[in-house]
Amino acid sequence: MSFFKGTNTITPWINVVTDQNANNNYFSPVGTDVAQAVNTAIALANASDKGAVIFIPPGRYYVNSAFDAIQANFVRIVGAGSGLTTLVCNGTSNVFTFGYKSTGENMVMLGIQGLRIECNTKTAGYVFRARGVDYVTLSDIYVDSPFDGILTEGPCYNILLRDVTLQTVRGNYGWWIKGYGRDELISPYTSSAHAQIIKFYNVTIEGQNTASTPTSRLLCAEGANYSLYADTIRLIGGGTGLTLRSNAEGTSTSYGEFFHCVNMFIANSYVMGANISAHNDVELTNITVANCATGPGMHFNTRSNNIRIVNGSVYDNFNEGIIFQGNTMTMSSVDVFNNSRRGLNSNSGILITTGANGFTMVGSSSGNTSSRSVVENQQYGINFAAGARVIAVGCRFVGNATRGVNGTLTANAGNLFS
Amino acid sequence: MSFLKGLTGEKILPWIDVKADHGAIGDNVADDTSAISAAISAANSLAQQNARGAIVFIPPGNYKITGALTTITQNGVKIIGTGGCFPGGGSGFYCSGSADVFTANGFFGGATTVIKDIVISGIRIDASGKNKAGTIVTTNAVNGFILDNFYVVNYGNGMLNTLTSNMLLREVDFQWAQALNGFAWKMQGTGNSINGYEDKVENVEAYNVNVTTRYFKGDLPGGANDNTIDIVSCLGAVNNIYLDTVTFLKGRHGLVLDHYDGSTGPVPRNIVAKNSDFEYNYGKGINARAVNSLQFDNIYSHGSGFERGMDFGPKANNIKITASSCHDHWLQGIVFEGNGMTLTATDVYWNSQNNSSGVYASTNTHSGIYVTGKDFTMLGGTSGINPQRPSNSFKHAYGIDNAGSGRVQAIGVRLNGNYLGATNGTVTSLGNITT
Repeated sequence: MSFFKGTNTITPWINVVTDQNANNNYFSPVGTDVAQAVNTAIALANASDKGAVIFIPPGRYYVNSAFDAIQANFVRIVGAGSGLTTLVCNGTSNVFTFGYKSTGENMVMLGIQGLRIECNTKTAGYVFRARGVDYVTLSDIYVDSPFDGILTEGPCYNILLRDVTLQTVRGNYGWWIKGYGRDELISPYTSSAHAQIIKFYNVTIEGQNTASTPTSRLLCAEGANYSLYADTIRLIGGGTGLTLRSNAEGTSTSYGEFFHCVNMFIANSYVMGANISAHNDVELTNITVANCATGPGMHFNTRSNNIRIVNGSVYDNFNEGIIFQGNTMTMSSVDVFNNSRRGLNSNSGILITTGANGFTMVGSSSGNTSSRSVVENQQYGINFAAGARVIAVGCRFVGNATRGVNGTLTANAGNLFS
Repeated sequence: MSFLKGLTGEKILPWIDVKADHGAIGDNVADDTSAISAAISAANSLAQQNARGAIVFIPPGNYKITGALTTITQNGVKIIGTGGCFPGGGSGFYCSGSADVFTANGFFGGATTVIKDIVISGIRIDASGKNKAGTIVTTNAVNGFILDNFYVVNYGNGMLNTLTSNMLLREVDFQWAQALNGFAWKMQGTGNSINGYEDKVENVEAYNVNVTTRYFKGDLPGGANDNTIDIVSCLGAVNNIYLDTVTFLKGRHGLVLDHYDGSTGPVPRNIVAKNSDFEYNYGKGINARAVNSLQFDNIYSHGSGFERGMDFGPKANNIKITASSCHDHWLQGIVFEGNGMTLTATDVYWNSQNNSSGVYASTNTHSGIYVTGKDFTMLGGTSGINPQRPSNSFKHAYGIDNAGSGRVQAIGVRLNGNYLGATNGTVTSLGNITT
């Protein structure tokens, strides 16, 4: 493939095997470290003002020490495909780093594609982290047993993930989308430390479904994160599947706006399926949240505002299906059923706490389906505090242990209660 | 010229390298227009001979293009670069001159057959040198067109599609349109017969497509407003348009749906969008003067410069919007003058941001939803209340104002927090909160 290699007038193509003598250990159980060969390629790429392609041919490569950060524009790391090029990454360092340039300059148009990364014995570090970047693409990437998966922290803009799987995350984060304070500048960067315009298609993040990692978060967007677009997402196991929360470290408490999501499946979380502690305008269409092992399916806390869910199923969660404490939530065609799996008939399908303001359900249900034989039973379909101002129209609250509704609906039309 | 070969070495398609075969330089100094045109001409000839197609390969480089490239006229011609929008530098074109850049046209030179299987992929175009002139991509008489990994900045007009069907756009950016009175992306058809084909655009899928102008609200040099470029227009016989994660920003209107001539003939039909933003437009986020069947999920109409958020005109029929939001607009959030609209689980808030003199102020004169058409239903959602930021003083006049004689239903809707009242006119209400 050396025909892509050129003078400084075209994009250099650097083959880490033929150009840098990286050791392809395809048949070897333990190989020599390729970090130095790849770092030489990264140094060439960083020195290019025309970008570079670092190609890793099919094979199996051992990475025992850290890769240097990519700190130039238009650099991409290209494997032959997630079934063909494998990096075996051990140790404690982050594998790929984009940005973090001391000048505060944002790097543009970077990418990684076509890699399988094995991290079975890794005990710390991210597979990929980026900061101070604009236009980054990760595609066709399969990671086996990462410790932590991906960190994209502000300022970072225009991040695209397509066909990415993180299998058995063992650390605290599958993918941490980390914005800081609203309009906050963090030295040396001169652009706001937001995480903004993040698109992801066909992304699977799986954690461990045990009590050993209750703090792990599979997908976590925090602080000033704006305009996230998600399509076909699976979050399986782990402590919490989806987290949307305020920043913990910025000078002000900021949180995100606009999470658009279609086709999301969250299951087998240990602590909570979705923990929306702070976010404005969350849109979820065609979602399933099921089988949380020790807690509720979805918890919308006091700073979750303007939540919209259309076509959803929330079922088989240990405590409540949905807890709502925020401002303004509408669900349409959402079924909440067979929750309260702790066997005490003591949790409701939907719990709306004191301080919540404005919960609406239309054409939805909270009850237990007659087609399934379960001992556990939701206490109430919906249970809410006075002042919550709940609307229910065209809903079914049937098959609950105590009764359909506990509380006085502010607006009530066309419902079935038993 | 070499061949793309199969596993056993069989020749699959001609492979024409613009550098190796036609002497393109790619240093942004030498003019490569004629070399790349010659490569496309060769591809046309070979594709015509083999009846299957040919690949024009653009290796990495920065190509200086000063005029029109040869029109693609044959089935299966594919122009392949090594990187456009995502990721990497790859194959860049630096364009100047007033001509159009890429054109695919089955009817070129008097031909009468639609061409198939055309691809343009992996190219980055800086059109700053074109001084706002020309169109970057033009298709006519094409069935099966893929535009992929394609990134354009500082263009005059972006893309024009006529008589084009089965078009796929993926990872395409048209950033920063600059021509006054131009367009960013326009699809149009009269519905008339041309060479035995119906003049229409049909079956379009767009994934991760971003289209913008550079300017918004006084950003133009000298503080002027560029209020003339519509971002995406579907005019006339334009059917089955699927938009997935698109952002149409900073134009006059974000999305325009109308007759070809503005008044008669076919109207766009079956327009579908999800996870998409129509934001910061000078005019309306969505300006649907005429459309049959529109289905939008998870869309965001925000911050129109001086207009309504979404406007559905008298010939907008069967509109369905779910799990969406419409806020921070200058006038009304949603205006509906058409026939049949259902709005489900959608929040409309903080609109009416000007007073009658056109000054940014909270005088609460415009309603969240203003209906003069027939048969409008709102199911769940809100128009008015937003406790998210209680200090925000923008209030609608009414949550829903039925100013016409049509039937308006509000079921399970939160209509509190409006300035003059929850509703005005005749609104059939069931299970709403109004105070």
